[in-house]
Amino acid sequence: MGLATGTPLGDITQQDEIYLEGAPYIYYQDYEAPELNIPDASDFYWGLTGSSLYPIYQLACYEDVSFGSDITVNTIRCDNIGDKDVIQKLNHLEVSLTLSSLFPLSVLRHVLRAGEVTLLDEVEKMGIGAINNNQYYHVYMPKVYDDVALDWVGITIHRAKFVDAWTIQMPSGDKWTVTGITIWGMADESMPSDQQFATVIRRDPSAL
Amino acid sequence: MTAKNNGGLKEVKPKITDKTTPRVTRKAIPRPSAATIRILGYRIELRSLWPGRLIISGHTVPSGKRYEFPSYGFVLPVEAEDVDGLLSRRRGTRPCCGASAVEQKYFELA
Repeated sequence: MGLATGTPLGDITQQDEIYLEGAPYIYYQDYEAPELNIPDASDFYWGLTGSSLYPIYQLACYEDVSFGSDITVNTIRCDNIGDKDVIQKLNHLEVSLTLSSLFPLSVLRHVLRAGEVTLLDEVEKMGIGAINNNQYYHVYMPKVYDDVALDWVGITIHRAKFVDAWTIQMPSGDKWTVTGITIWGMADESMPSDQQFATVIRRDPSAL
Repeated sequence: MTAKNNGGLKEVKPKITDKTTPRVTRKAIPRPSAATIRILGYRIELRSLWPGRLIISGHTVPSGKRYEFPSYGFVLPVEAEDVDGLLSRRRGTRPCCGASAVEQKYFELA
């Protein structure tokens, strides 16, 4: 029947009719904290666990979330033939978003790469100064795509930094937003080579 | 069962027939000596849950003492009279966007 219908012969793995909508939750934690699974029973490193030394921070209200990669691509070009091959190198992963909730400053300060926040009774104080280039984070982005069956997918970026210039938009008649927020996920050499940048976990008992 | 008239409503009291009393075993809790109490001043250790430096100035606690927790998770002994007030401190706003399950406390018992 392959020829009649146009489908190829042999074994075929098809995709599921499952569609995801909306942004995941976004958590981050100091890189020095051990991840939740280091590794799990099948040698995957993922998840976060908060501790009295390393709390987990959660970004709250955000929009325009995207997750992508930065890859250097160079072709092996033979002028007499054309491109014979291509060499690719993953440089970093990239998460970008626009943040609408600014407080408390103790959470925002990591996004802005600002100084340590002090809370004195009811007053929060934060300085903006030199950027600490030695500050890395784990970033964890779980998305529950079936609230009833509790099916979810989660992305753990092992070694991340907030990078690029941010802008706090202060429009009249609209909410303040922090734009230009970018998180780079860089290579973590303590991870297995196929998980150096991130690990993606999906749980879906009805489909798997 | 016995019943009495109480303004039109009947109050029913169950009769207790089983006279056996439950056994309670108590462990003796060693009490600190008066000298120890004087030295320690009834201090109780609290852990900061604020992600940063947290300073409680003297005028917001009954003892009038100033406490400084340099970072999240730092444990500091505080005067017993200040403990209730510090433990009941909460962030005034509701957490946003899916974080509602997390109680926004400033301190917990260490």
